[in-house]
Amino acid sequence: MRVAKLFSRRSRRISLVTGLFIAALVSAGARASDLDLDAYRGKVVYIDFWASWCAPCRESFPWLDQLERQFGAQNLVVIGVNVDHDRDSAERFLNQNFASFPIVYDPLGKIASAYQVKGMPSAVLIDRAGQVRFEHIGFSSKKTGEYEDQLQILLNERPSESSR
Amino acid sequence: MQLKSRTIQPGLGLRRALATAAAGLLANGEARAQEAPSTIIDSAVLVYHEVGRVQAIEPEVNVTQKIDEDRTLTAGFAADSLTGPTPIGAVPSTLTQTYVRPYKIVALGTPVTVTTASGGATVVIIPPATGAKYQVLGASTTVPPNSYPLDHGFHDERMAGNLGWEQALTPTFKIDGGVAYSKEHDYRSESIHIGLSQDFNAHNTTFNAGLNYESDLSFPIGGTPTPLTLMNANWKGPDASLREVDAVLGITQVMTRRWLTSLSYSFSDLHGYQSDPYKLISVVDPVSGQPTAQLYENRPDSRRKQSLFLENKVHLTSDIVTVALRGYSDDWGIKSFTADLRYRLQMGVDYYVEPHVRYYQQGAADFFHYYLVSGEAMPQYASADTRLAAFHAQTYGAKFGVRLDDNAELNVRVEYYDQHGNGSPANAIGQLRQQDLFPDLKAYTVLLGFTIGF
Amino acid sequence: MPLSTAVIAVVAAGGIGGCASFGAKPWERDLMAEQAMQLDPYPLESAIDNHIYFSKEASSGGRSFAGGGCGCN
Repeated sequence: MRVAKLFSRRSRRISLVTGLFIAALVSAGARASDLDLDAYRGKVVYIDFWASWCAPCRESFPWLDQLERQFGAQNLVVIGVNVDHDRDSAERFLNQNFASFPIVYDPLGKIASAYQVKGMPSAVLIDRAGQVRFEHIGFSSKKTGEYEDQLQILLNERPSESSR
Repeated sequence: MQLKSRTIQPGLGLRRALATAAAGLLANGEARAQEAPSTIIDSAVLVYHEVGRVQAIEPEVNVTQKIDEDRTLTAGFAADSLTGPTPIGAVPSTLTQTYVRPYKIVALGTPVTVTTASGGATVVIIPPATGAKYQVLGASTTVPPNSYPLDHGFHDERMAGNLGWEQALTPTFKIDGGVAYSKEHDYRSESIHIGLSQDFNAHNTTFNAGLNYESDLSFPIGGTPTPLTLMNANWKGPDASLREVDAVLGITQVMTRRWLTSLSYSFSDLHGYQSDPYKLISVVDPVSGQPTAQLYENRPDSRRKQSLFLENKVHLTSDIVTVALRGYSDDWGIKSFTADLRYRLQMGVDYYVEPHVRYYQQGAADFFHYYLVSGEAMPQYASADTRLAAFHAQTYGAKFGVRLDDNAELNVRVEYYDQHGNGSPANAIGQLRQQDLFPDLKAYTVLLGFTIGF
Repeated sequence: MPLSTAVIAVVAAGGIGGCASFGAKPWERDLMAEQAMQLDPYPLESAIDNHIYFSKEASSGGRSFAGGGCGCN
């Protein structure tokens, strides 16, 4: 069964606990076409679809990075889904644009397709109950306040308050 | 409309989209994300050489500056220096021919040394009209028998500048505008343009429209001649103006991941002086074909042009093929067809070579004549400028490029252009049968380019 | 309109008709994003070419350069 390729060198920096969750995900045989987020139930998940050829992605990475620092304690998880056809291009980008969050590789675009990505970059914000609540198409540093407000809404929800 | 989408090229990194600084978002000690260039400087130098004719050198530079995510400013400057002989328009003859044109006005009594005017013409003094306080110096060119008449007194310098602005109003709608100015020693041009583009279908389809308005002024050396009057060295008429409006409509479609296609239609409307003030048309004897008089040419005041342009780009495994076709027609009776093919052969990450072939063919303007015949009715418009004649032309060239750095590229392009028309029209008269009335135009160009981003 | 132009129009209409069904998915714009795949990748060069050809031939340019690219934002 196809397994989503995980882990760039950067993932060493993620916490051990999250690493174990993701390892569990791999060994449980997660389907590539559907990023299995069951392990993150109870956490707010920010999925960012990015590519080495996507100019605004370069801008977004520093902000995504600091999200983890800022909100990690409230159980925010950022996952970067890379859609490059060519792994080398993605690695080159990561060498120049530091990412402390985990990277999932989606070279055939199956995850992107499953989430019906409409533009690059795209962000999907998932609440603690696993529901998609917000989506962004494109990234603008002028809008980070708005994005953070949305995250704050999701983070403030207690798991039992999230819609099922 | 000139919209440049500056995007990242994976691995080559040239012309990355420009980013605003991510100030204050990085923790101390963290590696800084690489900043994309906010300034791009594009420069090029052209060396142009027509065999036996003009030569030109043209340096050009363009700066693109990102103001913020949505707004970009561009500024450009070009200079060119053109020297060398150009066709007069007159027919060759078995006899020596002399052509004269006004060259300078000096006050009466100014001592004049008969020297060569720039480029090999001889200065002649034109006797002043009675009571005039000035005298005209003419430039006289003598053309030996059986050679195509060229005016050697041609030297022109041109400077041009442009400013542009582009702004995204929404993620799918952009507007742009700009102004341009160009000046040479006998011509000035000013223009302004605006444009817009709208994306559909997740940026797969783009519709765009552009409008350009241009106002030109011609102030030829020696003044503007009265059309179809006899060549003479008298000082001539006043400045002449020309106005042009152009509109472009285009649609671009991403067909597949590898194939991009673009179709545009353009329309131009010109009103004003469009003749070449220095060009002549010969009147020849109906039997011998010898020139008996030289007249200033005359082109219509009004011109409407239309063209349809189709381009396809296909990205193969690492190479890129570009094919472009253009069909053109105007109300001067000129129709043309252009086909252009480039194959960019990518050699590793850093090098490429791009061979290029272009084929062009045009039909003659309604009022193009190799010469006029003495005794026949004078047409309203007439020009012997081979630029308006029927001909075909091929360009063969190759471009070599090297990526120097993530943000820099150096390239050089070498090309050969060969324009061939009918130098022996079937109905040529007398001595004209043995002359080449349309010698081939062959030109070599070398273009050196350098782009860098900061 | 000359025959050559009519041919181009037919070919283009055949290609561009049904635009909405053609295209690349947003995550499949990697090749379109390359600099060399832009419609006018070397603007100085094309400006110089137009200048040269217009000084030697009777036809003039008139094309647009918008579209293609990475489609980002």
